[in-house]
Amino acid sequence: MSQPVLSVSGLAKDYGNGQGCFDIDFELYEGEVLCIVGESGSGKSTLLATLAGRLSADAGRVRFRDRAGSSHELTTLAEAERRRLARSEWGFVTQHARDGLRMNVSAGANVSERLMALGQRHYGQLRETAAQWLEKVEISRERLDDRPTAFSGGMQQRLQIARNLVTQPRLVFMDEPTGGLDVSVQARFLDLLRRLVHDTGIAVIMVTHDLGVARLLAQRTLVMQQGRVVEAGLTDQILDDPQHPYSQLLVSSILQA
Amino acid sequence: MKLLIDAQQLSKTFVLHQQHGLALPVLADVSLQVAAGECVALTGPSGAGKSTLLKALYANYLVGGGSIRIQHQGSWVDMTTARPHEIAAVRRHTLGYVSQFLRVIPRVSALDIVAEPLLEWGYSMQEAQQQAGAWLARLNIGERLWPLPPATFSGGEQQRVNIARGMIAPRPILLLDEPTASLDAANRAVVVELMREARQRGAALVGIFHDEDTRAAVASRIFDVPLAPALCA
Repeated sequence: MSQPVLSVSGLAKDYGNGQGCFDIDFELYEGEVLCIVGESGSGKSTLLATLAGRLSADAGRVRFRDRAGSSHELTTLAEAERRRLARSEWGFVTQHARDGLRMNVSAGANVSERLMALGQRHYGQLRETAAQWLEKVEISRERLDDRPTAFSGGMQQRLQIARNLVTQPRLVFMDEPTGGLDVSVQARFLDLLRRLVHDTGIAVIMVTHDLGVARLLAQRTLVMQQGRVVEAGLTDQILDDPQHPYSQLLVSSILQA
Repeated sequence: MKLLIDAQQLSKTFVLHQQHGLALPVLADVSLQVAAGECVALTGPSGAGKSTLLKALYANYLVGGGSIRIQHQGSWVDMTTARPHEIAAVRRHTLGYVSQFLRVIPRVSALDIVAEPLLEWGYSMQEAQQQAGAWLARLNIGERLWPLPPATFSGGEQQRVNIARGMIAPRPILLLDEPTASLDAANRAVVVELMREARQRGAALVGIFHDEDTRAAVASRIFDVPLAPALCA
């Protein structure tokens, strides 16, 4: 069995007032989607940002294995190195596409930016790659020169996906990516993400409050309450046979469509 | 006789924290072994734990005690202690589950839903879709329905898509939860034939079949799920 892409042990981010995340342990493998669920304020987004190095950890270790097979300890990584990994090996999809896009440049430039940061300079090639990625996320290549401000919310979110995945990262962090989307757009997004995971073997860590999304996309789920993981396991097990009182409450509160 | 499932002394008690910690014992000291080529029909009164046992074998339910060893690619994996990604690998390659209900991403076509397990086995898209078409045709899902997402299909059609998806990859073990529940006689006969073929290729089947004719047609052995002692009173 291959090595995990990410190994997390004893990770904590302590805001000092009891808020944050504590004692986080898990491993993530290639091609796996892990959902982090829990109510607002349970520390889901804090955990995600700490894993991605956007917040500094107060305790614990996060080991990341890059595509060449080298291990990096993320909690002590120098900022320059973290930025290099963030560009080449990771993606980060925010809940509000506006936070993850550059709104004042074209869709094509948004998609090309990471490629250029990695040293690609050939204009025609960059443009062609960007056009192909727009099509992968079901945006017409004719929109290449339009700014994201001219896109609907669902299109902006798909553009953000393309912008993050164009460098074929090994690990993508997603913070409530379907939060603001219509259900029809959400279905399209789920289908897209499922295919990308299958085709490219990326690993995904996704914060969501939608257990239906977790069931359809994620093999594994962490349930968080008050900054701690109260239950971890296979998604279908947690949804069909939740053990912890809080998981049971969460599952019993789902509306059946 | 090659053993593929070796479950020993399983117990399962549901604890309902929303009901002041109400404890419902469902399985107590249940052991079941199944060999290649067998089809074991689980029987017992409603609530005896047939479904619970089946779901425990799939690691969909967590057991309180006991071991569930599954023969996976030449070695035994205990589903009660395996790590999540190991369980995922066992499910992908060895242990299939056919439920009554189709749960899939909206918008995905019936053909792709059925083809997906073969893609996970490394088949090319073309080969996977070709086989998926053959399975759908065999289960009397007309070709005009293949490109459509099954959300709008009838209950029986959805169930047949689900059966095709659950059985298309020739996994060595199949768990079946009332696979013929809402099917008409003709389609029931097709599913019975598919289960027989699975046995002939050496698969081990464990199923719940409420329909007695189906049970008689496919089962090589009956396993009466024993009532947990607290439920006998």
